[in-house]
Amino acid sequence: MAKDNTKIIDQFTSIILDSITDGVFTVDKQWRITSFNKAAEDITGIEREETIGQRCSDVFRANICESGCVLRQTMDSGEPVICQTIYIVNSEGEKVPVSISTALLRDENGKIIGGVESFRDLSTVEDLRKKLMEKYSFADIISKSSQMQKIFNILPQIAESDSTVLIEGESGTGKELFARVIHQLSKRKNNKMIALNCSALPDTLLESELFGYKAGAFTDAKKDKKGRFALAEGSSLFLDEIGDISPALQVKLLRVLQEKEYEPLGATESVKANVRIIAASNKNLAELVRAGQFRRDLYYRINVIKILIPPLRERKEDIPLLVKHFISKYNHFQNKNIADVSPHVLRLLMQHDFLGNIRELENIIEHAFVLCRGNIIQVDHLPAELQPQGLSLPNASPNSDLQTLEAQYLLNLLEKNNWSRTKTAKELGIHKSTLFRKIKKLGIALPKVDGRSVNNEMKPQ
Amino acid sequence: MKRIIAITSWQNRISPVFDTAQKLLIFELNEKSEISRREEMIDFNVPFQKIHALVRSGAKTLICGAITEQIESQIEEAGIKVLSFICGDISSVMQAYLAGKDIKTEFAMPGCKNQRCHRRRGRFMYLNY
Repeated sequence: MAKDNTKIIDQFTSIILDSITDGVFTVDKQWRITSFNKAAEDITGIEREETIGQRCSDVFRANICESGCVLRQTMDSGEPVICQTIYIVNSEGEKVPVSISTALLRDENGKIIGGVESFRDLSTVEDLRKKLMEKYSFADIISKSSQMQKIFNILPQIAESDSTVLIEGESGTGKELFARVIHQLSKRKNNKMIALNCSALPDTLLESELFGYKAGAFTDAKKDKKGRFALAEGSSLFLDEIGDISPALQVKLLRVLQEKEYEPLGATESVKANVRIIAASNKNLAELVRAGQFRRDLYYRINVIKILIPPLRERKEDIPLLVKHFISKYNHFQNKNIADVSPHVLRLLMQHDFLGNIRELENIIEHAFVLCRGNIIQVDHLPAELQPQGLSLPNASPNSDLQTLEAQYLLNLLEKNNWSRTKTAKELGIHKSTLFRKIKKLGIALPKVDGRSVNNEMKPQ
Repeated sequence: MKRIIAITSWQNRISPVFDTAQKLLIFELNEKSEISRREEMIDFNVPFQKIHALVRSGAKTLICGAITEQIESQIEEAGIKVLSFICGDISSVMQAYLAGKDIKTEFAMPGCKNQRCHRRRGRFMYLNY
């Protein structure tokens, strides 16, 4: 009679297990599979008959089998594991993301006789996440902030218009990315967009870079050289950091925009230019005009359509999306399998001010990828400045305001980099001039050494 | 004729997943027997490093457990034959291999009998979103 009851209970258990959508399998203490439900068959693609009696690692084939088996953890500690995200490799050689939970199996005397593992296929969730990401992305730009969504809405019309565009935003906000998207959506997309950073070159060189020169124009000009305007003929020319060009060059640029023609250095005739200008600046050009540092007439020529990209700290809702994006990007390029950041890491990122904007966030993820050997980016994989102890600054009282914290954060970073502004700006992912402005604004007094003099001191005489 | 084969190893068995395997056993064989064997740790998180270690080992054949299609293609592109989705004790697998048996059938992982695994071949594509 008791045997019959046990048989009926076993049948019920089997029916119940087969009716649920989560995969479930049980193992004995030798890690041999003792039961395998219908959903487990569907998710793994392996029929039950082939699994019974087999080692669970040969059936389940998870990334954690060898070095971090959660069922083993549960068997050792007695503690269940709930909803850990891992992946398994199915028979097609595809990674299937699953969420697993574990528990112990005990007999009627409470003795451990094995373990149970339940797992849920996250492929659909992953697909939905990707679809959601598509909703929040425009070409390669990712954001769900309302300010950015407004820009996404008008971007196609801006691209079609062929008018000059001015993109303003802090360093690291992705101005060049916007320029590329505008170009890609425009009718000039079949020709390559030409880009030039105006602050990267001295004035004389910048002029020859922009307009080119004729052989004999100056001593070393042995033959003609095409300038960026000529290279961008029929296409778009992206002029980054346009606020940094000299007054003399501003006049020449104004002429191109007004007359649609220019003269290469040493040329006697003008050359027609069919080029769309997309200019960008990390400075507020209107303020530069007011300060007399930028020509008003050129400003109005450039400022036909203005796009203002908000800094990351004003759209922190984008941080989780961008984190996912960069994890996906680096997983691809570095062939890694990192699934996510830990909740603590995300909290720290959400609290961070991101002076270097998206570029800084990307640098942080890249840094974490170097150190992370598991599946989840943890706090100790972050750069020191972001780790909690890095933020408990010696002089920061509980009442320190944001600016004081920012100043101390910068000071710590500068000190770490031997007071090298260049290295510090690079680490923050911002331009050196932005760092100088920050230092000035925050009233940070620097010692009379810098990274260069430190380095020089170290050089043998 | 000497030949070198590599097997991913875990607890004296073939590692369940190549992508996360930690140890490689490299066998030098002649026609019918083993000449020597050595171990190499491949506990890298970056699959490229595993592939690099494999190429460096001089192995022309890899025997492994489950493997993602992208990595299998990369190994094959490096000129290494891959016998994947194999499980079992390394000594038994090696014995069968040296005897010229079809280990893909005899030691196939569950769900992979009759060459059922990796039927769908194709290039890996990264979806950028």
